[in-house]
Amino acid sequence: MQYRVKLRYYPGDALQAIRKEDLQTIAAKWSLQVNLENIEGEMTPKGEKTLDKNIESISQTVISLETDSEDILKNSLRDVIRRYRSPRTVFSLWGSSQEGEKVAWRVIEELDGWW
Amino acid sequence: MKILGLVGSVRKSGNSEILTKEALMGAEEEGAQVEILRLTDYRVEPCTGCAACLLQERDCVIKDDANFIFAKMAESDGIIVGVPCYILEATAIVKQLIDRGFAPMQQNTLRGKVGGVIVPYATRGWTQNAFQQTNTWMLAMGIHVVDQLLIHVQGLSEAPLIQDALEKSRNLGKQVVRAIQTGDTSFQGEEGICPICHDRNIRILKDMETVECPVCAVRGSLKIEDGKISVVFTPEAIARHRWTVENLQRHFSYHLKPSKDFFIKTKEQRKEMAQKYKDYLKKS
Repeated sequence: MQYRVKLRYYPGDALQAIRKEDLQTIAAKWSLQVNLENIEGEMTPKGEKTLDKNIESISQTVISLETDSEDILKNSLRDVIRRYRSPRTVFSLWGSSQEGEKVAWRVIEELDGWW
Repeated sequence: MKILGLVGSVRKSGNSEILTKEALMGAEEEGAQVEILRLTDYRVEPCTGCAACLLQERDCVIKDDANFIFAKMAESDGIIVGVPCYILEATAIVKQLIDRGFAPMQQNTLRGKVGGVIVPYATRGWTQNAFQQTNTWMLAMGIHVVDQLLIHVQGLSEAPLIQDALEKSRNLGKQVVRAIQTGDTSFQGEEGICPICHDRNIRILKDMETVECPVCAVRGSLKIEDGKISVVFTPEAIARHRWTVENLQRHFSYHLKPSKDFFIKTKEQRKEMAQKYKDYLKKS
């Protein structure tokens, strides 16, 4: 089974800056595909407009993990969450595959990083 | 300059009211105009979670006295809260106003004002959470709390028997006024552990390595030296506390407002899955 997990970190959520080289280390350690995407939303003089916007379009850093092994997925998620804390919102996994989301949710509950 | 006293006890002329009035007398001596509201004389309904305040960036839509109370606070320069400690915590009116305080929090109508807190309590060792609620309320709205007092007094109107209690409360009133006059809103009370709220509560996170203030979310680590515990907070961690303007704006902008899109995206699925719970134990 192919697992796909997207972790959406909004500004201020991650404990440290999310860097491509750190994610590449995790990818090499666990042999899975890890991608990083930085999205910038619509800025106004009063700050970013986020109401009535698509979840995918507001400012965020998206870490994508893809693998066909549940164990590899869990291990890599643990490394990501230990480094950055878990993402914070119920929609932080939007865009993940159904099975990937289930695995990610369990690991997030296990580690959390906020509680 | 106007100082508003807020009393969080149902009991009239009880210790909370006496000590708040003593503080207001101190404020008056420093030249302030003073006013007092007994919070429990007003109707404050529970928040319904409708999110109108968040999504429409407006005052609360519930027709009761909460908006009036927040408006009175907004008119004032300083706010002194006198609220008893009942079973480890401040009375329920504070929690009710925390929940109803989203609009002033988002609109920053109280940001920059100066506050003081007086908590009379009956038994030593039964006050652990008292300041957590008053701080959550005040800091969420951007009020600088310059002092907070725990006053050990139990029975009806016993406070005047304790000279120390009266002196401390009067001095708190003066401190609030001086902070407004000078612009120096640094904390003048007894130092606690958290550098932001000055309370003594600390949570240990699940990683068993990190500690944090539960109110301000300032993270740190524990150190034990010669049998004494200290909590080490870095300047970076302190600067990231929950109540900064930037972090509050981020919370509204990235954690709350986008939930509307998620709500719309999951509408059909939710409707279908929630039906069995609506039908279960439904009264016919």
